[in-house]
Amino acid sequence: MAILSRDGYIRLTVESFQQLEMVHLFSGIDEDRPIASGVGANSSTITGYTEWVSHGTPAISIGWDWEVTGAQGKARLIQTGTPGSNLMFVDQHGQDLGPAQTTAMLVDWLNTFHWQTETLSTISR
Amino acid sequence: MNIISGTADSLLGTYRQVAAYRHKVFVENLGWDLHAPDGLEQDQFDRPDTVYVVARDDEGEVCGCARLLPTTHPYLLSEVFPQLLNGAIPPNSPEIWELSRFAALDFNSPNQSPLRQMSSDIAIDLLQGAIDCASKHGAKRLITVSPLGIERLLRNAGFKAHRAGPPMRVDGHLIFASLIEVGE
Repeated sequence: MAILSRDGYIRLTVESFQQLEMVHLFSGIDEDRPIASGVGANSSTITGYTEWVSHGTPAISIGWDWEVTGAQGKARLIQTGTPGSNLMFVDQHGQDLGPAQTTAMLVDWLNTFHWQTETLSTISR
Repeated sequence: MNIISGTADSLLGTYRQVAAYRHKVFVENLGWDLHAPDGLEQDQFDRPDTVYVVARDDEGEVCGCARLLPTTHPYLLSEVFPQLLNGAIPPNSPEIWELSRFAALDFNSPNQSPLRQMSSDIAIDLLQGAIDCASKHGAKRLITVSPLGIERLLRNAGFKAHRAGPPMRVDGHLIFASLIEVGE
């Protein structure tokens, strides 16, 4: 069970985290970001955000930005920037790995996590 | 631009300008449903002990504001949005101050948008000013309720911050609680 620390972090090992199920909370398109375009470019970029949580309280909360890329006529979402979360990964001795390493490990996890279908489905509604 | 801070009493007439500026930003531009008679936006957390951080342009016009409250007394998050704390009891510590009513919208500058306000130089200077001011009052951390988009901007500007729990939709706006490190 996740335990909330007084500083707002939920501390756990990456192995414990990988055993949890993350469920979709919100996704949306950025409505107030300039559409990316360059001189002579014909393309525009759609960007947005997606939020995921673990079950129960306290909940692990992770959110990240994405943008749409098109390849072979098919829209695909790719994660951009760095995710925000209330997670602090710890080592086997319970020592904090720090925000930078936690974020880097979350990005690695995101590369294995299938979030695109649910997000695309939500923003398409 | 210069940044000043103090209580309503010590800011004298500037406090009224801040309340009018808040009305312009939060009620007129962002459409928040706030009690704001006479074109002044203020609530029960605007008390004699509340500390304001104010950015003024070269003409003396308010172009940014922030409100600091010690968590040892009632504050916005503890009284109105405790559900954003992920089941935790709202902090009550002289080392944690709440930052609220943060705005950095220069109405004398073209192409301003309230939702992009945190990407401006004013916003970054104002937030740093609020952190410095809170530090002088003994804070080691700020807690704040913000629109979700602020998280991205805090990170891009290099502030050390993390969310305190999942975002929630309130009155159509996605908001979340975050903790910002004040440091030494």
